[in-house]
Amino acid sequence: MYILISQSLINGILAGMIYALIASGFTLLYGNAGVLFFAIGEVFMLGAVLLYCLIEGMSISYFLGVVIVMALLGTFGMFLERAIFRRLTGNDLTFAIGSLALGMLITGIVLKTFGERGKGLITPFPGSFKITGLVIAYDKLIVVGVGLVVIVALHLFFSFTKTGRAIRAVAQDVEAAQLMGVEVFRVKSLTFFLALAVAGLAGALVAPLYYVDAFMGTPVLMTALIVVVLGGLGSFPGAVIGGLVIGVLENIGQTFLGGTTTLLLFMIVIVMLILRPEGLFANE
Amino acid sequence: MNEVAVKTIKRSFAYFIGLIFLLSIPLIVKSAYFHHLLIMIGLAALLGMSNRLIINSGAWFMGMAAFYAIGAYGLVLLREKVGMDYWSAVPVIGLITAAIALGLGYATSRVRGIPFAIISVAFAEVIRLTIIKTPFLGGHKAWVCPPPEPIFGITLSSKIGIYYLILVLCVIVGFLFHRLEKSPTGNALMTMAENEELAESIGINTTRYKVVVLMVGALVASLTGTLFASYIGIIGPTSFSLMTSVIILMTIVIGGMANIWGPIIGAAFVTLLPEILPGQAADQNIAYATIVLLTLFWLREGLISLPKQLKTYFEGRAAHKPASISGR
Repeated sequence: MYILISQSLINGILAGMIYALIASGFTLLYGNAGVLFFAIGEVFMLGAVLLYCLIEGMSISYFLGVVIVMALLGTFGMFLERAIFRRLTGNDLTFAIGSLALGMLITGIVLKTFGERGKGLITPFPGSFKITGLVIAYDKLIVVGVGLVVIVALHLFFSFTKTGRAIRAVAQDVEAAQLMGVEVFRVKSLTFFLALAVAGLAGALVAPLYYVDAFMGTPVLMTALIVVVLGGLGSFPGAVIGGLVIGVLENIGQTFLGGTTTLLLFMIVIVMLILRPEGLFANE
Repeated sequence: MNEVAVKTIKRSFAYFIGLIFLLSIPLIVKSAYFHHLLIMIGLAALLGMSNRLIINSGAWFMGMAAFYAIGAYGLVLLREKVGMDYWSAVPVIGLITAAIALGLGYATSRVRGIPFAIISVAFAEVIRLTIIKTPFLGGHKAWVCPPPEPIFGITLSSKIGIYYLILVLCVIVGFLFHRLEKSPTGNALMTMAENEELAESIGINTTRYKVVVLMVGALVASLTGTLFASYIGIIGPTSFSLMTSVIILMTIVIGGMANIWGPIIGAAFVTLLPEILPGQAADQNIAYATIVLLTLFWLREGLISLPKQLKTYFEGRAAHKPASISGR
């Protein structure tokens, strides 16, 4: 029993780290650009696909590949902001539909270029070690480590740098931020960079652990939705904590309840949004 | 005779001709494939019209597949487990759908905007996962659904029979929704969509309107679900995924939200596009997505506004032209 719970806990933290990264991207985009970015699952998938292509095609090392993927997707995000989302006018529903279309577009292009079959990468860090009967694989440890570093770095960036504070200011009140001399469009552009880089990082990190295919993003998008609602729409700490909580809950739930866990989580989301739309971890 | 009356008569005449055309077209073109396309357009139009009605009341509902699934599964279960025929099952399904929509509507009456959109997506997902996880509902397995029983001596097991049933339904629903929009209720709904606080301040009971509109939309969608199930004959949970809701949403975005023709034209477009385009699902995804993005950029009012847009474009160009030689 102890082993079962602890092992689910460990797996849960791994999944939770991935969810935390994706949900951070999602929540940043919602908070700063007002975009319900449904294509975040596809960006995650694109991260995995790009890493696969870089490693298999150009035999680049894992870490360099991850950095390149982040840079590429971040730039892609800035391009999207400039080419699509800045030019869209209208309400939030327009943005949501635009992002849905974007997700379809990315899936279609990946299906055409990458193929429909799932492909697997050989993990760069084979092996595992044991502590008090619990198995911990090195590659999963790396994922958690990198995720943690990125999240802490983002937190420091948001708390202590001028640009980071500008981003948070825009999330709170666009007009007030503008009056204080924040260049809103630059902040939005930067938000897209960060959000897509972080979501792509999540994809690149899990690429060696799971099969890489064009549809790996859809379930992740759904989980990101749950996480973001639980943590409060637009809240970065909420997304991180929510991601870890959902990852752990989901894994423990899978062990004891099986497949109904996701169903229960979605029901919780609906109840949460009705009763407490600002999220569990909102402190404002 | 004044101008308005002439316009009304002209318009009624055009509708009459259009109806005659739609009634006779399956008898003129006798290809089963063509009939199939007409039926699919009709189903998509019904779903689009109901989703448009809900969205135009200010509730960004993005989970139409939920009610579609409730209709289809309700029919199959009532037929398989209870042994009802189509015509007695439909009212029961209507009651169930109305009850579910009533509950959802009242529970979410205080939620609006993006949180409501997320609730609707989560709701659709709850319905889909409930189907998958409950063995009683069939799980991942597909159900076989027999065609509707004949009514008034008309057999509905053929494509033509189903086509006429859907056509009648489309006309009724389209007409009712159109009348609803033009009525004082429609004005109230429009005000709600523009500004809910304002609507409340002038005495519009927004909660009640929202719930009723959600119920009406849900009823039409679930009725469409029963028709879909009995036409296709086999249903499984894959027909009611997030993608289905997205396609319904895109139908009205492409067609246009301004009037009742938007979802109908959008339905024709969305149904015919994959048939015209060669290639697999990937190509169709790319085409759909590109068209939706282009619509969002340059044709915000959807395809129905295309003639108007073209007119203003050409008139604008004509106005900017220097006076021609023949001009006085």
